[in-house]
Amino acid sequence: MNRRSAIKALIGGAMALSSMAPFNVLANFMGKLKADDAINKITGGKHSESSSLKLKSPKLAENGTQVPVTVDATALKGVKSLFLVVHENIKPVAMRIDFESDDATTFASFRVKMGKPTKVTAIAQTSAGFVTASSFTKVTKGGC
Amino acid sequence: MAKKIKVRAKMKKGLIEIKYKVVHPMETGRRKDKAGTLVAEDYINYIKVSKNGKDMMTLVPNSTISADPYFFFKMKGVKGDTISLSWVSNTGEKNSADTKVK
Repeated sequence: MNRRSAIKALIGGAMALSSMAPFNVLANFMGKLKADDAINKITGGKHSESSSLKLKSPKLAENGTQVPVTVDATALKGVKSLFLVVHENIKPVAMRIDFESDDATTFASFRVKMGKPTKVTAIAQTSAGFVTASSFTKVTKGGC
Repeated sequence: MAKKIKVRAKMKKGLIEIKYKVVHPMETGRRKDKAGTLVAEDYINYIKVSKNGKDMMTLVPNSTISADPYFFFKMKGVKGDTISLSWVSNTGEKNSADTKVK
């Protein structure tokens, strides 16, 4: 192996490591945690509420196994990631979305399980810091 | 068992609207079957979305996402773009689907 290929191999290895890193970080808050701890782990304790981040979840959900949730961060600038936290669930962090291109619109809609009536919080990681929005969903029949 | 993916990508108001559904049980590891034994954890924990081979977004769902997960999102693009989606579950199972934007 000559010097050039050795350097290439080194850089390749470093890149592979750095692409693995988010998953190690992820394992810290995807597990069984208290919701507030999970939020603090994501944001590092620094976050502010904003009306620019829109979280749509039903006020009353009859079926806790299929609760539609929409997170819309299109009014914010420089959004890198979105998180959804369902406070009363055993694993509170339901979803993380990373945007890797400017072409992707910072908007997503999906369905979540909810065990019981719960507060729902969306977190957006922007270039200026963490922004949150919350709402409350009543569940008549739990599904977790 | 092959787990199906349904993708629909359509142009609407200048954006591609993607509707994506996977047939998957999304077991949390807490449900019991009829015999009373726990059903093992089995959920999708990684989804990658790309457009024309370029990464667009990465989704990391937890087991608290509903069974037969359905996602809806938008991105910039034009008619004829190829949208590829692939998922991996915690058990190592994977699948992917390509679709052309209509």
